[in-house]
Amino acid sequence: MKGSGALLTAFIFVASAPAQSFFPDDPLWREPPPLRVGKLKARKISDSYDMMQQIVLRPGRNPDAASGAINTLGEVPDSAWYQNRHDLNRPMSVTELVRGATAAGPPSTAGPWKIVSAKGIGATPGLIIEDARGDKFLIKFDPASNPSITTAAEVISSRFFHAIGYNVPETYIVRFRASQLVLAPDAKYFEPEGRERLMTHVDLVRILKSTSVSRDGRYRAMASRFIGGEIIGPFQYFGTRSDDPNDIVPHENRRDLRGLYVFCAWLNHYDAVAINTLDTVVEENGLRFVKHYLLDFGSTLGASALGPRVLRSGNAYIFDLPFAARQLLTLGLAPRPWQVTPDPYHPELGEFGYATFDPRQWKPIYPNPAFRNARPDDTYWAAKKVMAFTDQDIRAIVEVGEYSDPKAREWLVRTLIARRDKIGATFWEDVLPLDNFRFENGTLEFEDLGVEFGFSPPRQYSIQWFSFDNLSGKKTMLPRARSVSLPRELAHLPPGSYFGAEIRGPAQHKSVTVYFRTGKSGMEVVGIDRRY
Amino acid sequence: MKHTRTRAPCFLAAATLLHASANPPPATRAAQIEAKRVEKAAHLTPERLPALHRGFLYFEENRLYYRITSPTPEVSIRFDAPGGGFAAGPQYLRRGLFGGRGEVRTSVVGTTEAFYLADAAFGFPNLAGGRASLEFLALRQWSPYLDYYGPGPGSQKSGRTAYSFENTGFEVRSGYNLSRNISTGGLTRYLLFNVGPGRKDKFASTDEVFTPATTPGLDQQTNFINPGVFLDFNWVRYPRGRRSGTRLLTEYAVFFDTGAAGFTFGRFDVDIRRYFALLNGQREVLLRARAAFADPFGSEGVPFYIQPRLGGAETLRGFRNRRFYDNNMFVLNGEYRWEIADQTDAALFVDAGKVFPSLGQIRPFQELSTSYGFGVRIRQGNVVTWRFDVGFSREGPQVWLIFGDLF
Repeated sequence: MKGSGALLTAFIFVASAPAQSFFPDDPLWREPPPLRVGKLKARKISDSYDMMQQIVLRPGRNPDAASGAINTLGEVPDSAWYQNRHDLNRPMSVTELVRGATAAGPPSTAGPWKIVSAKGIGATPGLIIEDARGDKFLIKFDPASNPSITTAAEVISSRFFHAIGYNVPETYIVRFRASQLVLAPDAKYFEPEGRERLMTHVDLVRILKSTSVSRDGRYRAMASRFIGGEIIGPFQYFGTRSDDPNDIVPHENRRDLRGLYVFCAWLNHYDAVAINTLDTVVEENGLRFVKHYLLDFGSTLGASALGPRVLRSGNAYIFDLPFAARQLLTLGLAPRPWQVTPDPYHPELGEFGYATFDPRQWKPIYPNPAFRNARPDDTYWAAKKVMAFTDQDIRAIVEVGEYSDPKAREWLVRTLIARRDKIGATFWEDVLPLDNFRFENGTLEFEDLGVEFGFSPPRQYSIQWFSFDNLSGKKTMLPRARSVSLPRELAHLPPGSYFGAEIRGPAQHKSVTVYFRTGKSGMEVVGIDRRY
Repeated sequence: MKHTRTRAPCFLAAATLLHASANPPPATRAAQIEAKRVEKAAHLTPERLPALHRGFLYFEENRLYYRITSPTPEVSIRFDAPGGGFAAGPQYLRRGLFGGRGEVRTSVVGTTEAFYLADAAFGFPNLAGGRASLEFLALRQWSPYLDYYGPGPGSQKSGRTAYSFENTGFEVRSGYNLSRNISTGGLTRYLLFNVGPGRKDKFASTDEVFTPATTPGLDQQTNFINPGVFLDFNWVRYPRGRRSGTRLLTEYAVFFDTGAAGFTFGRFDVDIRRYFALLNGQREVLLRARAAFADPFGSEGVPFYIQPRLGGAETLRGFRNRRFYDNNMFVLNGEYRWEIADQTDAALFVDAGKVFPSLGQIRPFQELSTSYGFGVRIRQGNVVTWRFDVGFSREGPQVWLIFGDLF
């Protein structure tokens, strides 16, 4: 049996101090205001070094470590990393889901878009432009062979990640004529091999020729507004920033990063690596602190940065020793199901499906320590977030991609629904998925999410009530209290008292212990402990 | 068995440890978190990457791997095989000349065994809206020793000799795309050769073992004007980055002896390739049949140093380079490739081929030389950039590390 946290370690550390399991402000739904940070040094990350160290050195690998940055209910409080937005109990409206992180609007067409710099073809073609208001955007195009594929993936996935709770840039689908673009006199051009020179009109023509153009002469692109603040580079999926006082939980243990595995599996965000993140020092409400972003969703769904994804993306690491050994020894004649089960191909979507999708087997491009440390309580939390998206929510967000082919759109909706359900069925099976605890007329009520969503048949539960000493952490079992009715011994406790109930399902090793605190207005759930 | 639970353990454990003895315990969860932050704030250090990480970053930001392996950067390292083992050298490429249509390339490649190849090319690869091309090429090659075992398929491994070889060539080549799948063109070369005694201590010089009767050109060297035409039928597609389809390349050229040696001859080359993308595009089977036929037009014959050859990384991979020489040759290659890692394939291959003096003596199943082996292919997309092969034949194993693909 494994558990979901590490409270025992706390008890060991506090030998000379009174032990206290719950504080008056538990469960905490918002982290306290961050400490003010000074001028932080920007630094880059090498993707190849990160890949090498994740494959060879494996920093942050500690699957036994309990999750951090969570409250006593196992939920992730609001912070500079994460904001609770869309939830089973508090869903966002469809309008909010579709709006996503967009706020200030797409590039203004009141004047020309001044090209500041550009990346050449061969890499992902892209422009950095300044609009009439002086706002900067990154403009990315689709390859001519696959219109919409990358731009749609960007805007759709950014809406999902925003709704789930992450900080993402504002992204828009934009359409414009070539005449909208003007070259800044000092516009830089970065050739695929990295050489930098002044950009010419020929470069712009070549970039535009590499993408598709509609019959009315307009180009489709994705515009991503530059993130504000002082950019200090990506965050890593392990350790903490040594210069940020508010960064106190090792990233590999953060539930919001461990659970990100599930979201990435759902949306096939296989490029979830350090270089696709960004830290920026912002000033909000008089506070100056580091805000953490996820970036670059061009390699999600069926897309890659250069067109349709290759089949191994999401199915095997870039260097996957067990996979390589199996392939080598079998001469490639014992393929994995994903290698031989084609998904329907849509030029606007690539190959993205659900037939061979196994949420446990999904893999990013190379190992991610937070993902590898994810435990059943992390994936349970994340699966709840995924299951919060209804079919209608998914359909509405997919519409943001503005696919021209209804078949591609419908297939994507169908795929995301099917993958969502596989995630719920898989990760809710690892724990006893009880949630939403409350008292109604002196009876303990809760929801079995597995049963509620049809993943499990109705099941029987056994309940054991206990009183709880918050200072010592000692439970006193009430042997005869085994029904859902609140026992008489607990019904009239004074305010500030604690008690709980341990609930088991048919699988005895899976249990949920829920802790209550009495208050003037009734019983309040203050803690949840899952064992599996 | 562990009995643990989800109660902000990281906040709770660390903060309590740090403050239990020195400070009163926090009264709230928020205070506990704040205490932990204050504790960290007292020991902040600037972010600094390890030296190795900084090294990777420099390599990456300057795109050094790309510059080393790709032929497109202005300055790169070229890997080629002028003979004599692994070769490398600087290459300069400049594109975008003359309104973006012209390009120039020059390189010098050498080996530790003092083999050198220097070349320079100037061309217009995208004339007439990308339908036509024109290229001028000059090259100079020095090889202190090249292997020669005698003519014909029955030459013995023990008969290995060496000759030195120098070659200077000038070429004009033009091409035109007749359609999406068919292109044609013409070329003219001026070729100058100089062959001498092999400078390899372990082996006898070729002129000490063979005679001009068996080895034409051994005593007389000449220069050639060499016009030719070529035709390329290309029906290859790329499902999931794998090749599928057929390609047929043919070239006919006449070598006019400009001296008095009487070595004028014609040569016809044909190369048929068939690619099969199998198992959802995850596997590839490649077949190739290649042949070269030289017609001496009743002259003195074809000089041995420009005869069709077999053996080496491009033909029979289980035999040494230039193992078989004669007026004609054919070779069949089959290869099965399957992905073992990203952009990396394993390969099993089999080769069979033969040289022969005239078409009447082709007898394909007599004295056929065969080899087989395994290898690894490193790809960038659908282009193989590096190839490692281990080939086996009746003459033992051969190991090849080659920049570029065979097919």
